[in-house]
Amino acid sequence: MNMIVETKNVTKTFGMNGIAVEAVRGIDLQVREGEFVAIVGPSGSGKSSLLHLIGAMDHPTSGEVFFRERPLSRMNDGARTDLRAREIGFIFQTFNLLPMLNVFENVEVVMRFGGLAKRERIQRTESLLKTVGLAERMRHLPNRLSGGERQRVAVARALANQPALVLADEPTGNLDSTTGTGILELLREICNSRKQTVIMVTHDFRAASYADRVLVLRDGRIRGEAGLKGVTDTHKTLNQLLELELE
Amino acid sequence: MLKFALLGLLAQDPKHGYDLKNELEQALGGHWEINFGQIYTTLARLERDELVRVAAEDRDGRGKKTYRITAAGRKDLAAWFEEPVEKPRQLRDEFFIKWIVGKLAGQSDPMRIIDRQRQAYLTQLRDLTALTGRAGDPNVELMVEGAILHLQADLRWLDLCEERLERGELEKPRAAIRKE
Amino acid sequence: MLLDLAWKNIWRRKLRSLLTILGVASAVQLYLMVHGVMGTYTGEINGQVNAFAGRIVIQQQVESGGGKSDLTSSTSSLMEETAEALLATGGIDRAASSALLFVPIARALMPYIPPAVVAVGLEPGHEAAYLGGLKAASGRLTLEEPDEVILGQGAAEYYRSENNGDPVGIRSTIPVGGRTLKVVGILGDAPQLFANAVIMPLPTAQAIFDRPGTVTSVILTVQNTGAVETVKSSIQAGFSGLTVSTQDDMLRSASSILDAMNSFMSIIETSILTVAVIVVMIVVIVSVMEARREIGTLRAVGAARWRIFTMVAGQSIVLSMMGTLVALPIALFFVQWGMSDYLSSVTGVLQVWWQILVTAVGVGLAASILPAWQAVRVDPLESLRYE
Ligand SMILES: Nc1ncnc2c1ncn2[C@@H]1O[C@H](COP(=O)(O)OP(=O)(O)OP(=O)(O)O)[C@@H](O)[C@H]1O
Ligand SMILES: [Mg+2]
Repeated sequence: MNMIVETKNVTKTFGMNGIAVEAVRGIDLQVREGEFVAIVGPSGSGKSSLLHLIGAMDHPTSGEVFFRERPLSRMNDGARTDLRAREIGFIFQTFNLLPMLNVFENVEVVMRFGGLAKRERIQRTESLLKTVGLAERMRHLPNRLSGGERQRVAVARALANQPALVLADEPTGNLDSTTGTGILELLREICNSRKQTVIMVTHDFRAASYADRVLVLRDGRIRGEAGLKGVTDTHKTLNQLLELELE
Repeated sequence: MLKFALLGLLAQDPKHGYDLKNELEQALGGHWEINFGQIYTTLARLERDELVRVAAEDRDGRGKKTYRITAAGRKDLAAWFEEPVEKPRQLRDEFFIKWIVGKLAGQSDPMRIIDRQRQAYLTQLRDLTALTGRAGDPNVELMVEGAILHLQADLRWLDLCEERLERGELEKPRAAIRKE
Repeated sequence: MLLDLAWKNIWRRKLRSLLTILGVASAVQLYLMVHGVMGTYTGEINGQVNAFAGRIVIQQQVESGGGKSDLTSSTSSLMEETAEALLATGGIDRAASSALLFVPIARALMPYIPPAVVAVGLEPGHEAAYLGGLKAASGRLTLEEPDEVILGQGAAEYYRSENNGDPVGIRSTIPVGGRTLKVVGILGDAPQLFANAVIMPLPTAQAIFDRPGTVTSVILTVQNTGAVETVKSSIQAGFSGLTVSTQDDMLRSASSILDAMNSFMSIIETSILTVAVIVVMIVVIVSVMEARREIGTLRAVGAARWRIFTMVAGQSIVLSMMGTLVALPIALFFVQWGMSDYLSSVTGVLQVWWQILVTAVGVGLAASILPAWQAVRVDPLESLRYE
């Protein structure tokens, strides 16, 4: 299988007033094309830091990140920008919508970076916003939206250019279970039918259970890994459950 | 548990053992097959305790009895409804035993136990989340949601085990509540 | 392109943008006026010089330091006998040559500009010495009686107040130094030097202004234009202490004055534009500083550096363009109503619209270089720094 992302002994140390914070301490990771990987771990364990390194936004202190076998450290700024524009969709933990643009424009603007023609941009933005349930709010500014609604705009923006790799930092953090489920199913869906790859950071195990693989991060290291392959018979699952409850 | 389920069904009107099985299965969305043996042993026990009695018996004598709830049975059922469930939701006892025994035996790596357990829980969680919205019966749906929440708690608890283990806190004895 | 974003950034801070636009507008307005004044002035001087093609002006400065190119200089003084000797020089067209007496009636508003109204005494029959080929708007351009006078249009306007506010035309009379003169001709369109002239017979002027036996200058018209230099050198050989100016000399001295003026004015213009550039720059730098996180986000979601550049440059160009748009009508207003004497016409200002456009874009671009440089260097990671 082709690896879309690979990291080799990646570390990231932040220097703050002379105090070094080791956020990522040597991570080896391989993600296949079309895979859905969840990264769980306590707050401060380096999940976001790792995601920024994979997303060509930050530079590792040591080690190397490969995107489709190309080392990111060898790319110049233009190539990295292009990668972020076309191949990677990033859902920020803090949403990072542009406050002067309305919902529609926030999604549309990144399609320009992806080189889409105007008509296609309009069409695709409308359909994406419908998918995340914000068709009615297209002309509103972000500061008029609830946290969950902003998060859904961020999701739509990340999917705008149909990137090969979607990096999601707590994409359901502000959502109730119904809308959260909707987003998770959407991410699952783009993996299954479009062969897009998703790496999702979360601290919600239920969200993590949508993934094919769950990595447990602790203190900047991968502590454990669980493969969730193989869908079981739903009837059998329920039967077992009822048996337990009624014994 | 089955005892009160049967009493509850009989509270409305007298029923055959066969009807009881059907109605109970239906109430649970048809996902669970209860075997007859279980029903009949429970009914026999209820009859013995005089909580139900046989109202009629089919002439051919092939065991087709109709059961009716007694006054004592109704009282019992009412009392059951009144009482909250006192027993804590069951812990994953076996894992906990494994955890303790593993430490005692000094054989297994506790981290490995945790890892494997986490994998198992996550797989279960995945199966359960795949079920949400597809169970058919709204009451069963609720049960699935409950099970998911419990699994999440179990996973958090695993995290706690791991964290304490890493910090070496499990080695130190602590002040304990002693039996008087 | 992210030009719409530039526009939204401007719109987001309405009051600040409005103040910036007004600041730019007043600077650009000032620039346009200075520019206009310089243009008018240059045209005026060149017009005067051109009017003296093929003629030689002879003066004798009594005070040193008097402007050499000031043809109407009243500080020059020649005895009538010298003037007669000069008029007898060989190779000149005597009919188009004359002794003249210039006396200012009303002072000019600015240095180097001819007096607002000036009395010109010349020998009757030799009007061409001063007026050359100028045409009359009405009446005649010859003086036949001692009390006759010819007015330039500016001078006619000046005497309107003495005429109960009625337009002064031929057959009107005007009071000059206690005498009443009869207007016999009004000049057509002419450079200011002529437009402001009150032309009368030389003896009349000498009597009115009490300058008997003296003139201020002599104008000679050479018969053969090619012989100007020969005539000039023969005068210089025959007379000493005289200032002899040919058209070339006038041109030279005019252009040295113009050069000095121009470099002075361009310092002012540059300073004004620098103020505009700095105003815009400060505002754009502040807005880049405020928007670092958003710029970081744009970079993080794939905006290339050049797009960020267009956003910032667009913002400052739009600000300076809008400032210019506001300045234009203000400048036109002053041109039209306030300073019609010194500024060229409305159409004149409009003719340089492209110049103004280029200036606006130039101000915008210059103002954007520093902030744009700061903006393109914003790292995608800055999108992650939260408060
Ligand atoms: N720019 C920075 N400068 C200094 N320290 C930083 C910086 N970014 C992250 N850190 C530190 O690195 C560690 C890991 O941070 P990170 O944001 O990756 O955690 P996280 O797992 O995403 O946590 P959370 O679940 O709370 O989002 C933290 O201790 C954090 O304080
Ligand atoms: Mg984080």
